[in-house]
Amino acid sequence: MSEKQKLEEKWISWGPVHPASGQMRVLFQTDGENLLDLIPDIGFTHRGIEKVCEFRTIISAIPSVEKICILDASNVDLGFVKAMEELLNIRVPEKAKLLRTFMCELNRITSHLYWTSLMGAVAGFYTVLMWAINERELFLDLGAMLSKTRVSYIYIVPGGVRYDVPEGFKEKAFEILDYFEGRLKTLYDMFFNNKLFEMRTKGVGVLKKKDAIRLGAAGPTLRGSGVKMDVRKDEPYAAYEEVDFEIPVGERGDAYDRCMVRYKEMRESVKIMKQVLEMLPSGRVKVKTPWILPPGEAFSRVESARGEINFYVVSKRGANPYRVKIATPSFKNLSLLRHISKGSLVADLPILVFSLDPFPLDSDR
Amino acid sequence: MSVVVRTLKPLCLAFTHMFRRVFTIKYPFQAPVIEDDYRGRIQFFPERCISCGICESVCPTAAIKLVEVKELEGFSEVKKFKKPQLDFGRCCFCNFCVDYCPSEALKSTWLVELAEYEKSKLTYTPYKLSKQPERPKLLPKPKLVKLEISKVRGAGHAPLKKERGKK
Amino acid sequence: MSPDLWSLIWDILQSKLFLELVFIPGIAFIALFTVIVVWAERKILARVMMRYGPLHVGKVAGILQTIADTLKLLFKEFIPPRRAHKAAYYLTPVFVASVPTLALTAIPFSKDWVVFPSDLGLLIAFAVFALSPLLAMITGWACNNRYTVIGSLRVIFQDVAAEIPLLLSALGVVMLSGSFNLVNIVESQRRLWFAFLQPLGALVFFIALIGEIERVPFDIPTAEQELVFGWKTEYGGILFGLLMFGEYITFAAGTLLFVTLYLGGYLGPSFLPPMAWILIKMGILVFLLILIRGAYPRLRIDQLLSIGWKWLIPLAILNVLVTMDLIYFYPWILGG
Repeated sequence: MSEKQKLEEKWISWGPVHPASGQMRVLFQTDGENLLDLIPDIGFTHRGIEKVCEFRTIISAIPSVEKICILDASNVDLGFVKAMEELLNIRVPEKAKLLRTFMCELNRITSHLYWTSLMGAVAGFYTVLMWAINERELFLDLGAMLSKTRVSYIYIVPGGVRYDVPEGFKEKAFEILDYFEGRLKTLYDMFFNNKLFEMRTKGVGVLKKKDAIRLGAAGPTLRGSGVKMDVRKDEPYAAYEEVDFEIPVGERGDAYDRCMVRYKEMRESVKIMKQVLEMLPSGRVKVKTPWILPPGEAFSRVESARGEINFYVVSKRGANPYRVKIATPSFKNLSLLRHISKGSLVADLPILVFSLDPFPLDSDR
Repeated sequence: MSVVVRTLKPLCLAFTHMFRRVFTIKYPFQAPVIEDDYRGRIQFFPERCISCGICESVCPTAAIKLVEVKELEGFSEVKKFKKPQLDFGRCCFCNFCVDYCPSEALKSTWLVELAEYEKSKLTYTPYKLSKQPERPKLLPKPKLVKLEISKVRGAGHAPLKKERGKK
Repeated sequence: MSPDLWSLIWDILQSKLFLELVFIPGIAFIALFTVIVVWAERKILARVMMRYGPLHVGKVAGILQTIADTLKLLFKEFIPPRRAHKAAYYLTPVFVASVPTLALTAIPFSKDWVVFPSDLGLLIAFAVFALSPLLAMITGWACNNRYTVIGSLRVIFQDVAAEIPLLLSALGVVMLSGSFNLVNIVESQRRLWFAFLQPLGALVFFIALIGEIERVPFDIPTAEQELVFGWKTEYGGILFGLLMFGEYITFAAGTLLFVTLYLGGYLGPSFLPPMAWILIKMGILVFLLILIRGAYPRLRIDQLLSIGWKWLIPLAILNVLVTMDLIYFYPWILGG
């Protein structure tokens, strides 16, 4: 028996070809129903985007950078663009800032809705899968009005945003947002407040506040453990300084708290989007940008739907950056999986994984 | 008591949602309205092209290549110059070529149904690229639908009143 | 052929047993139930999820979708795992599909329409129910796969948690009617259905029944999110079809049993035949169970066990005690 076979004898694979796993694998050992140990195994979708960026100009790198986490395209895009703007020393028009905020929050909602659907699916609750995907469709339509495409927005570019607000956008956006607020309440009654769902997630995968900080959790996972940390508040970018919103936090740090944090974040996002629409001034949305990067380095922090995403860009004068380093939130969160799985059952495994909201493409880059 | 409510409410919601509007679009028979400036197939206007090559250099996926146009291929006025040829197998529909074209010779259109049986057919020569977008003949002519939101029956897709000629 | 043989065949064709075996609750009923319920389940769940569900096969609302799917399954190749026990692998689906039909033989569809009239009809039904986890365990073991083994172990756990409250809650009904004979049980509900006399027992029976027939929220043995497809993982083609068929027959038997025990079985106003009443009541129950599938997530095995042992069994015992007291202090409740 070869070494590989021995490993496979000992460990049971959950993925990468599995109804619920996504493009990643979790190897686990069981004693009956009890999980003894597990190893998150990522890297099935590595595309080398850091290297790709070195061969692209600042504009043409954006479609690739977005594909780090296509569910959350605008937030990732903004992180990259922020670093570039710091290097180029560009001031962005006010309207563009607001539109960036709008697009990022729209993406946060679509990403969280996608997660809701997946969370429903791994709990064996396919109704929620369909409902959440339906609501996501409304926001994809809204995003398509603004950026002229449904998923791969490429909306935020150095110097501003690409397209101005189309006619009738504000009314449409308010209609969809008002409708979505009602649907969110229904989703709460159906899913988040469902007694059976609470039973499935409460007390599962507890991540204490101390451990969350020590192990470097990010985003809703960190906030679910009670740490009130959000880049949007701590180091405001785009127009987050001007809008009023709260940071929801959990108490116990279990899977249920993480889910509730994401649910409350969706409500806050709707609030932000409404404020932005009210504030929208007239004016330019884009300023002209130089193509050649000056020598230097830049670092940017952006709160994406899955947590803080960091870009570190080094430039040695040229059209392309010399080096781009990307730290993604899914990678940070997936490394917690082994810690939070202690004392869980096999049936908890999908719940544990998806309560962290990992996106394998995000963790692989 | 709240436990009973929290357990039975989803059941009631499931029942009431049976009478809400269906969200699905019956795709090949129905299709959503796509705006004219959607980022779909690129249309090329050869008379405006100045053969500068910006589209080629800005393309992130190297889908655009400038090729020499022969006279026989359809363009009688413009010859000798190089014109863009677009490989939709590589294109990521970012529309940077449209944005950065100095003479507005490229324009994005509503056509998104670009599938072909052969990969070579996805390479659009300048002549093919300059044609009007046309829905593939293989698909049935769909009824156009539009998103509608009502508080009572929920969101859904309702058929458009008047048909548009070109789609 | 001699006239004797013809008359014999004619007699067989005319006999009630033949009608029972072929139509209700025999082959025709089972086949039709499966076809319609699979379609109805997909359609109802689709409406709950705001989709269309089956739409194209069979012109009207995709009603022939199940038949098309069955045909597809018939022509599919099945690939047995290399290390599987071949005989068990091929044989168990046949048993899984055929054994639950035995439970239907005990159910009365009208006063004199029972395939196997027996004074111990209720026990026969329960005995058949008790057989199915054994088959599931053999199936899971025969496939020699880690997912199927975990799945089949879960079947056993689940059965222990669900079967005991099921029997205990049915005891109340037996005490009230004074008989294990299902016809007698139905007949003693002429005054009032047992669902109203025994609301607690009916509730316990209903929850335990969902666990017994392995439907959401208790479809733990086939949890596809963690166990791919539980003890059915390695099956494909028509063998998988047979397993699904068996599942739906168990579904039919379970709902019919609940209707017989608590909802007055075939009783109802006389403008419809008794057989129609039992089918209507069953249809409503099936609809409710499908709706439940659309409204809840799956529970964990330890939660099912704690529900079974900490809630259902004590409640069922309480129900038995209350029923005893009722019968002792208020004998008029028995009627008569």
